[in-house]
Amino acid sequence: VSVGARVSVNMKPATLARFLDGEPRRNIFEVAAEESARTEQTLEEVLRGRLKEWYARRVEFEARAGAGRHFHYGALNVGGMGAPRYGRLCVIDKRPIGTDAPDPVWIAQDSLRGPWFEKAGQPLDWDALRSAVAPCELVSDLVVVKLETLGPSSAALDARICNDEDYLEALSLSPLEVQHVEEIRSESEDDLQERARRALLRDARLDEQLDLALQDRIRTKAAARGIPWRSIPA
Amino acid sequence: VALHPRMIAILASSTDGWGLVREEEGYWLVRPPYRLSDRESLTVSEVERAILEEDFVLEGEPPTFPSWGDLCQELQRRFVGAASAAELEAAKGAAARILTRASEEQAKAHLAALEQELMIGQATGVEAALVALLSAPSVQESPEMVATIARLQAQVLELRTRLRRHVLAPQRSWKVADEAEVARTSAAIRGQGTLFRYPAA
Repeated sequence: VSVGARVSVNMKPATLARFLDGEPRRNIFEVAAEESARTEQTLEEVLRGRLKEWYARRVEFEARAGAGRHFHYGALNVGGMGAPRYGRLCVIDKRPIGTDAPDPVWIAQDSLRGPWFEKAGQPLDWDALRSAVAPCELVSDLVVVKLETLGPSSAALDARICNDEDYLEALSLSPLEVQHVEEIRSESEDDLQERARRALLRDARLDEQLDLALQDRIRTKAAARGIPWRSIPA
Repeated sequence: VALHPRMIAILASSTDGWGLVREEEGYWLVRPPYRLSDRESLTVSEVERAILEEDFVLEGEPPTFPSWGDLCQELQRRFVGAASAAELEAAKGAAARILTRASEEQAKAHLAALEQELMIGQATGVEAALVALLSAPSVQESPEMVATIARLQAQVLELRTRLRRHVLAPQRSWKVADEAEVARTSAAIRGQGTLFRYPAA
């Protein structure tokens, strides 16, 4: 972990396309602030509209944990696809953890799923949250504690540390920038090739053609920036 | 949102055709090309994460649908509707461009599948796929695969010729020798008002 670990961020293709175009990663608070400046809505109104039922606990979490500053989220990655449930592409930050940057604070699991939120309608359990947090330099210790909690398993270490169901979350105050990308990982390359072949053999619907074009575009953009594209077996 | 049993609703969507969906008590992520495998079950916190991190826009009044097919059609409609004319134009060649990125293993799988197509007499699109594969660096580095492509291209031509012959075969069997005789017979049939020599009893 202390040598090979990186912060990774999973994105969907359209988000990755904008990121590779140089559009900065913005969290929901930054997006809402821009929208508020453009419209007559207050920041709170925009956030309530965007987050709806998730507004209260998200604002509470960031207010308590960030003391007024807002986070950019990632995951600890020691190989593999990160947490690809909704972001099928895994973007790896090349900066080694524990150097100058990134400087995340670590949480032992997804901050939205932790027991600090278990009591519905109750305020965030601050003590429970604090017990699951580690500063940047103690990530290896947190991994050991976490693996011990999870118990023995025959699964590969990278998948145990970071998978769809569970991961160590990285909370940074600065977002991932395109010049810091080490590589992009994808586990759908074989599937994409099959889809493209089928589209040529049978008349593909317009939406399928558009999605294939998006997939092609992000690979072209990554190549233009010299970012390696790595296929990970599904 | 209270849903009628068996109704499914789009909670949020983005312009790339992705959707966050609620079905009774469960949440789903749906994405192009909308196969069963492009539908994933989500927890509430994963929905929250998707809304926080991605460009999903929550629906004010989530539209409901009686079936997954109807819901996916709506997402397809939104996806195509959000695309510019330039994007639609660029999309036409995307499949061929993706094939040019095939790895050696993927190119071999493509060639095996294309050969199967030809074996069942299906030539449509095969030539375009073969041409695209010829541009793939992995194929260009393999004399064996280049030779396979040449062989399959010859098969495409042969199949096309056979199909053309097959289509024209009935006309050729008519053996019309005298166009004037044909015209006379046609006029007689028209005058008679029936193809039958004798009226029905």
